[in-house]
Amino acid sequence: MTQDKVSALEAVSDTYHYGFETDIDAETAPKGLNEDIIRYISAKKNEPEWLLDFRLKAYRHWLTMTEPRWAKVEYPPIDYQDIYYYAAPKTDKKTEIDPELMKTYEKLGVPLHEREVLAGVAVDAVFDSVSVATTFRDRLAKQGIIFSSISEAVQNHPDLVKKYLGSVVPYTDNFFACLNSAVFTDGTFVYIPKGVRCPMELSTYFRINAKKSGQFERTMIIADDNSYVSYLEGCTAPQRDENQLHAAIVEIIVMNDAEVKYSTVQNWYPGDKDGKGGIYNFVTKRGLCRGVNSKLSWTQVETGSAVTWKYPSCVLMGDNSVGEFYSVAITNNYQQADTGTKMIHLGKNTSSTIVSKGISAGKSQNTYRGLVKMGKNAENARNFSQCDSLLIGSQCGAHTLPCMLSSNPTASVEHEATTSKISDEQLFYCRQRGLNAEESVSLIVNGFCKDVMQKLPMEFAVEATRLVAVTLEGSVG
Amino acid sequence: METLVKRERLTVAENENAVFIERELADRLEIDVKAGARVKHYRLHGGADNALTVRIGENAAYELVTLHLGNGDLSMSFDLAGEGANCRSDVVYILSGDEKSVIASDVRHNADKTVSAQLVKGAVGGRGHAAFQGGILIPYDKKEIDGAQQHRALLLSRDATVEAVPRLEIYADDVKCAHGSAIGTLNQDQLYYMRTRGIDETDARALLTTAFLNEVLDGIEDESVRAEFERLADEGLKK
Amino acid sequence: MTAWLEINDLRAKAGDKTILNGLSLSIDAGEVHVIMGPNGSGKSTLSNVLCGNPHYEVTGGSVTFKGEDLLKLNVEERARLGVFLAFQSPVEIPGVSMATFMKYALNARRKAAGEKELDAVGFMKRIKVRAQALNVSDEMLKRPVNVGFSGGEKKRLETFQMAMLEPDFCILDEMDSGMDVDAVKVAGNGVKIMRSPERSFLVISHNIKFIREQIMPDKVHVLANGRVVADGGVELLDEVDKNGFAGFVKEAVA
Repeated sequence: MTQDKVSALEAVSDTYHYGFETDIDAETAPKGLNEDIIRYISAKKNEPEWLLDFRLKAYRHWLTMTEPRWAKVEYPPIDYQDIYYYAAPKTDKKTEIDPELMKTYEKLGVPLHEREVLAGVAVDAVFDSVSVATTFRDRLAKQGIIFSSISEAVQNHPDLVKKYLGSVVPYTDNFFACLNSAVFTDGTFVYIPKGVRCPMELSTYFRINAKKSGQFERTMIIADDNSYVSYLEGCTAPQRDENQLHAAIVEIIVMNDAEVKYSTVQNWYPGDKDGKGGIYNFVTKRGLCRGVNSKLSWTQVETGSAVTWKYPSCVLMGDNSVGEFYSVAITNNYQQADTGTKMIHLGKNTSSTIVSKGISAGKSQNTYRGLVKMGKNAENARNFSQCDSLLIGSQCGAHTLPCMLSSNPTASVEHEATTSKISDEQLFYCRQRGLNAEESVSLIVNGFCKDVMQKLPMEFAVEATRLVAVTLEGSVG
Repeated sequence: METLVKRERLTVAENENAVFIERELADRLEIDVKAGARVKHYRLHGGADNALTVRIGENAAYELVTLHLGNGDLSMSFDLAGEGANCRSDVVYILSGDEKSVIASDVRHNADKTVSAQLVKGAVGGRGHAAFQGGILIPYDKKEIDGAQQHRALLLSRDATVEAVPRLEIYADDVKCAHGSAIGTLNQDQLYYMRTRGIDETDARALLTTAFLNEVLDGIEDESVRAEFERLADEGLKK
Repeated sequence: MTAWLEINDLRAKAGDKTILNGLSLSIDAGEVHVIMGPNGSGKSTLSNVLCGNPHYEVTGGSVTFKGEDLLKLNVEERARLGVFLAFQSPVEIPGVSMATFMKYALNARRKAAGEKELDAVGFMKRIKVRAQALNVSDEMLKRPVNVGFSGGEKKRLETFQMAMLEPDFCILDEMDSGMDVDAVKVAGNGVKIMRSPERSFLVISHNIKFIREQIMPDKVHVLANGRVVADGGVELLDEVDKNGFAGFVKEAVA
């Protein structure tokens, strides 16, 4: 993101810089959820029979499930019949992008026209339920890379979608994943063919705009043998008093010698100072390192959402495969985050690294929850986890629940965790050099998160660092 | 020094010093350590389930070393109730054959300036299954808290399993809390080094495992108790 | 006319303990003053109180600096007015490099003064020149603030920060402690380079050799029981050298 764009964004609102609403007609399905709505969505998207069957099977299973309540988060019951499951911006011609939409994305700093795109970033933008533009597609296609909305992939590459859909996150996996499987509307599909190193960062920008609409996107990334891709995801939503649901699924498949980097900067609207409004971010992200020497790296900076429930995971099946999870989660005011990862070691010589930095301020609750599992056949598997929590103020909470299970004597699992506060000495030192209290806290927190921040691609790191400061606004007196 | 047999409630009066050695455990034991008292408590556990509850008063210090052998679940709860209370609660567990055990500990910092430290070390062989569930709770508004928990386990056979479920719940900011957990095997370099000196592999393993567990048992001040616990641990490892 | 820095009957406590007990002192622009005194006489408290450390509570007296009531300002406002403290034991700030730290500190001052932020080129120039003069390597600038440095290196970095921020009034709290001979020279060199008619120094030290050879003060004060018990020139150093503080302490009690 260029400096100009950053400052343009800052002008939008005081605290939450993405809180504006776009005045645009939306074509919505009636409120509520039933088989007819699912058929409506499927018909709107002109989907093949097998996909409708998949959705209906998921929906029927979902009806038998109950919402999970084990996470350390509290929120009132969600009325699933009070949500719009499909909202598409109405445009005259499908190929033309509505100028209002273009303006929105410009405000967000997402350039859609190729000439505006910073070198090396191709963008897919999802607005409510529909993917509105995918840049650079032709150039990527020349190398056999598929980068499109998942709806288009269903039309153009049905075999690939059918083969992998639900293969990493089955619809039976959990309540929210099951709901997503029934009603998912759009999302991104990426396929990198054998031996191809994707020449640019691929990026999706998600935005919830329509009132009372949920966002249920589904992202699939398949990295074939010996390929590489770096994928970035950013999220924003307008400021609203009511809570909105976001229940996404990300499935990643990594084949022999392939590598996928997945970075997220999550800045959904967190609610106001009194905890009113904000996004419920209930997301299932999982990757399968299927091939030998495969590698999957998750990096996330979580600053937004009223409630976050999210555990990007790696199933390390291929021998020598590598899983990484780097996370910064910042909560302020009444935000609640319950986030972490699962590293499931199945293959020989598999290794994983977890670095988690949790920062709680205000009256927020911030939980790291993790699972590291060494299977019977995980010979010489290795895991190292480092989870640090920082508390700002005396009314917030920081919790660490790192579960580990080992059934192989040659495997090694190691976890370290610390909890501390910003010391008075550190604050005094920074202020003595002329920084005010808020600047001092933001500087110290950015230092605390540095190990994770430096894993982010350059253009995201700048935004993430700034978000840290924005999120912590008002956290010190 | 007194030897306890199947008593259920104990109170240590203010500013008293006491040493307890428990060889046969009651199903439940509650200890109330009054202000300023200092207690050293050594327990042999195994076979049956047991629950221990300890309340530690103002500026009192309570020190526990438990040697757990074999089946049976062990549940421990420590309430640091008075300002300046100090609690150390170390455990060694050894499982073999088909033995299964859940070792659960809860440390609650219910007063300011309380300090807790816990070192749990385990060795699991055969088809043994051990689960360590360790909680530290620091409630809202508590100040100058220091809590530490370390868990280390060795898997001695192909079919052994160890599960660790630490739980740190912190609702206050004036805290220092450190936690670590590791599950693995003996250090291969150390094994190799010993073998180059002519020690056979079985002996080298035994020696290293004993050394690993003795980090906890060495903390027992009373020499005869320490010797007894170390001997029992050795026997447990040889099963 | 009041002096550049005027401390009058200053009283302060930490917790329930009174540490400064009616301390008066004035320093004019361009002067270098040294404060000596036995342990617990209030030297470090004085430096912290002048900088507004919230750990200490001022219970009486006044401090004016450049005509402003210093005690009314918060920590960063005093810093921006030109008060700099070289800490006795600087705290670690993991993950924040010294270069980043200085950029933030400089820009905070400029922002407060309504000036434009320094551009990258201007900043690099400023940092390069000063780092070279004080023997601070690029590698030291890239490492996190005070993390993993020796005592001497930390002090050298304190001197470096002083040179970067160009304060008007520098307090050096036991700069020479824990440093080897070469490092002491660097610290002394920092003071020499920085010395100017528009800048004054308050140097807290026990090291008479360091004060004589490196600092060359205009005035020397002896502190005991939270008060100044003797003022003078370098000749005071000889007296302390010969007889220690015993005589001064007695004076303070009496």
